[in-house]
Amino acid sequence: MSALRISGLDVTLGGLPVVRGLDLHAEPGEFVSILGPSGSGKSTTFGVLTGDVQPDAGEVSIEGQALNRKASRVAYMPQRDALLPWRTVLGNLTLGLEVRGTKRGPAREKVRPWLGPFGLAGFEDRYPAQLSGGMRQRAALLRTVAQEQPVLLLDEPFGALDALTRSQMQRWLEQMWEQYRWTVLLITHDVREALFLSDRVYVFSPRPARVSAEVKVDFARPRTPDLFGDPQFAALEAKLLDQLLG
Amino acid sequence: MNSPTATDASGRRLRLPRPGVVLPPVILVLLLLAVWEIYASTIGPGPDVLPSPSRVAERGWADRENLMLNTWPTLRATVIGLLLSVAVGFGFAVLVDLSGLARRALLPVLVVSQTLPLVALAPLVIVWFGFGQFPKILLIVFVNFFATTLSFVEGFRSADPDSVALLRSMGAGRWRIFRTVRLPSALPYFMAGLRIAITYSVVSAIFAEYAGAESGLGVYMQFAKNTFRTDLVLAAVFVTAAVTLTLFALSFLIERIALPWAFLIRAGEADR
Ligand SMILES: Nc1ncnc2c1ncn2[C@@H]1O[C@H](COP(=O)(O)OP(=O)(O)O)[C@@H](O)[C@H]1O
Ligand SMILES: [Mg+2]
Repeated sequence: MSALRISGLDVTLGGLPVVRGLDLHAEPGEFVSILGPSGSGKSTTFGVLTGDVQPDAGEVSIEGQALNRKASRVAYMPQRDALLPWRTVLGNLTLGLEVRGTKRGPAREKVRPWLGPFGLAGFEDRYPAQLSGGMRQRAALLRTVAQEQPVLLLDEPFGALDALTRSQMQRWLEQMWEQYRWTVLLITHDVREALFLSDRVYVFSPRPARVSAEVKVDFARPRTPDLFGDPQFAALEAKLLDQLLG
Repeated sequence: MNSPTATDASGRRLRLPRPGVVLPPVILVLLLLAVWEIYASTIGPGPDVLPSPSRVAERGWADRENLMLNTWPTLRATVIGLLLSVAVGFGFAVLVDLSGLARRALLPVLVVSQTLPLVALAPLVIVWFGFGQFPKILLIVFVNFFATTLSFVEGFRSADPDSVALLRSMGAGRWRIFRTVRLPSALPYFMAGLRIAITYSVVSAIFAEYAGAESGLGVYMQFAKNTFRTDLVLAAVFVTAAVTLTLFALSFLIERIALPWAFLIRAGEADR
């Protein structure tokens, strides 16, 4: 059974057709990326999955069950980190668990063991304004992972970072994924990021969004930046760029 | 520019007010007082019409007991009025925030309420409610609830849509989103609104006292004026300024303690 399956999805926003006939799926433990032009409807697709956007037509299921707005089964990371500035790092990390009904104390105990692997140990009592860009992103990611949902939705998680921090974060995420094998759906406009991280990549058409190409990425794991020099990587990159530019 | 910093227990940097922020207005005020002092004691129209600042201080000090006796009622009315303005503003803002109907019905009425002339209203309130504290407080709330309502409304609206979407993705309901995102987002706006309200509250209290009261700085000023004691009128003006400044400073202190994160964000922006 697929972890996530979308079929025949149509979305219209303010009279504008934003998504038309979209099909995609993600298998358990699979890392799937969505590449697409800006404004094509990628975030809108996530909106459907989080219950924020009402689709006109189509079916969406998580582990075989239809979506339920009250009992959300995806963990979502918005385009900007959306850390609440008045909560400490720890308070932000437990937010999802708290909203989903766990008491604050047990939620904290659940999150604490993750601080180390996410490079946040010792910073749990800081406020987000006191963190670097990379740390904020890791905190937002941990807030997502800590919700313990079957599917992670990451909307351009590294889009706002400087190039150096960004490639550090990509390597780090690859290693973390290697270890925990979350089911991830990642939106990005960075072709190399998609190839470096994913098992499979979907390319979205310009609005209204539908899948215009689907590419399997078979490079062995663990992956290292050496991969960027691989001729096969370069060939795939050129192919995807071609697809994107139409 | 670097400001003096200290570190608190959790390793957060605390910022003291920058000398560059406090110094210029202080110097300006001292300069104005000096000019006034020189003018009043040389070519001025004489101490009965325009006493020098030093004379005002001296005479005010001599009458300090009476002055203090009249400061307390004004201060008390101001603080109670402020708290009520905040409560009323919060109530209206929540209504406006939660219900489109409330917004359409309420906002125009609130705007009209602000155009009513205070000069006519103050004596009427005294006629209806007497010379005690109540009419003063009522007038303060009337003058301020519009500003406090708007600061809350604006604050609720400032909530980050991404944070709201995040909460919704977790399955949060309206009330949960309100108390977890919208209300905390509004607090810095509320503090800014409170500071505007502070200045208006002190003035309104004195205005109400002028229109009629048993005691207060307004009553004191009126009595001093009627007995041609310009020095004591001005002494009361100085006390008024001191009261306003103290409340103002207090609002920053409260914000510093209750919303430490708001200062961090502001400091971060100042560094950029
Ligand atoms: N509430 C809305 N009403 C009308 N149009 C919208 C609304 N939200 C988004 N859109 C439009 O839908 C398109 C897709 O938006 P989005 O999914 O955010 O794109 P992206 O692929 O960059 O994430 C954009 O062209 C945007 O202008
Ligand atoms: Mg987007």
